[in-house]
Amino acid sequence: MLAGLRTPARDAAGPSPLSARHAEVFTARNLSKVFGDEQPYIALDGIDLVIRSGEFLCLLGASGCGKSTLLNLLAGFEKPTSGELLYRGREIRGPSKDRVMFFQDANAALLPWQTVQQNVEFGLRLQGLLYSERHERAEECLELVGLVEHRHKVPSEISGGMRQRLQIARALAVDPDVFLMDEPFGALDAITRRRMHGALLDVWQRTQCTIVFVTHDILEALVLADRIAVMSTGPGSHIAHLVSVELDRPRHPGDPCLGQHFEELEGFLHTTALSA
Amino acid sequence: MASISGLDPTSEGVVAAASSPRRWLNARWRARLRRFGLVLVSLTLGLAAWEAVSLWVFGPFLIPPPQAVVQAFIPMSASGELLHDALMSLSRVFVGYAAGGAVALFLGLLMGRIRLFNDLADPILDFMRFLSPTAMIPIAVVWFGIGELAKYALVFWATIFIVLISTVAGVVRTPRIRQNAALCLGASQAQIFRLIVLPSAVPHIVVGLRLALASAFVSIIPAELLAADSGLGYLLQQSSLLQQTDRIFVALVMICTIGFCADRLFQLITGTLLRRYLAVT
Repeated sequence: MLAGLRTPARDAAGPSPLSARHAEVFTARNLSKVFGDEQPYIALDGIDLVIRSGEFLCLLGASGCGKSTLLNLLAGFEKPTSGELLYRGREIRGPSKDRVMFFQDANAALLPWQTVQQNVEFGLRLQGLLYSERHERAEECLELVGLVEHRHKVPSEISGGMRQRLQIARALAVDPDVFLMDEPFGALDAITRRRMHGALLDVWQRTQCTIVFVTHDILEALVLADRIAVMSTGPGSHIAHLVSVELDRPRHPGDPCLGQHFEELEGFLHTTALSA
Repeated sequence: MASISGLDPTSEGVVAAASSPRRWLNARWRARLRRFGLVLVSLTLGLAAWEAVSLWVFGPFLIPPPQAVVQAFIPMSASGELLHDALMSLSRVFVGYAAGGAVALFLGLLMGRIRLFNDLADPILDFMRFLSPTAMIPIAVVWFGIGELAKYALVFWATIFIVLISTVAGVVRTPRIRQNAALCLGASQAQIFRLIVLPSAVPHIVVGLRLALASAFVSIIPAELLAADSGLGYLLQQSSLLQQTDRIFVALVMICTIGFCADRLFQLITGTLLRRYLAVT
């Protein structure tokens, strides 16, 4: 099953797993994004960031700082105004199934008229896979997120946490290289969110995909990320700090090491907010 | 087991009281029965008020009482003239509505998807939609005569704007997120239209079609009043000329009945065929 979940892009990136693991997935150089012509709003200004293969990177910042804008650029939904943005060495021209985006609003993202199983099969159906193939694959992915017994329900019949796991399963089915997640667990209660962190880390470790995760929750970033990119408050937002979190997983919120990082990050957020 | 039930006698007592033998129907059936009863009471009250107004306020000529309407209804239905007029009206509504709905759906999907087309068509349509079907009767008679085509055209007119506006709204309001999610999963524009936009727009389209159905029934009567030799509107017009108020009331009740049944049928069909698309929050 693991072999089946590997991505062609990663295999193509290098012959040995080691070199593939350190390949640059995203390269942003002096990236900026301006919205509107008559009354331009500079959302991002001078973003420099390298995201490596297999990395779990959190974009941390206050609301409206441009985290989602950056994520939309990475996905290819938006085009940069200036600067360079590469995905595995190539310019991003539009959305692709190598980079699957995740949304907080699962109701809008999923297909409410289809069953859980059909939702997972959706991406495979787009590729024209035969019923038997996609059925088997969907079942694998549902098993990975623990939704097999709910496969005949429709999204409105399952809980918010299950819907987010369904989004994960749907993404897994198309075998993406990168998960782009826009505050995916923001609408969940604290207990469910903790459980989702575990599920996500589990999937990440199994598939070795790259994850870019947007959040405004310091603790969430600390529990999940290899590195945390703190963004300054907009307009003209940039990456103010990059923090490596070299702690073993699973990480517990009560861990004093986490507490130290927490204070450091809170200080960063505070100063970026003041300077804006 | 005995000891367990012995430990908690109070909760058992509560359960027993809640399911007392007086409650001989479950909650769902009781709710249905209540609704049905209220409909009966409402209709009875309406008939009584009708009777009272007829007898004591306006007199049986201006407002024939219910039994007079029934007396007029029997020969009219026995001779087949009522059925004939009702079927004529129905067929006109059906043809005009189907044509108007189909054209509106086609244009609406196009307008919702192609920005330039929308920007070009919207101002004109927004301007013209203030012409009611009644306002179009005189020119429709000049263009199409007093034959069937004129009636089809008027019902078409009554249908098209409502379906068009709701279709465009349905297409435009397809969640951006849902389309983006599909793009990430490798969907082409054609696939997004067919598999995302169309199903997402179904609730809006169905609401538009239902409103337009009522509009179609409303519009056929004036069209037949002014220029027709059959149909319920024609029946109204003739009865009015001959001062047969009881026959007028038969026609009026008939219009309500047909419209009501058509609406229920519409809901039944869409509710069955499109259930999974309509049950969307």
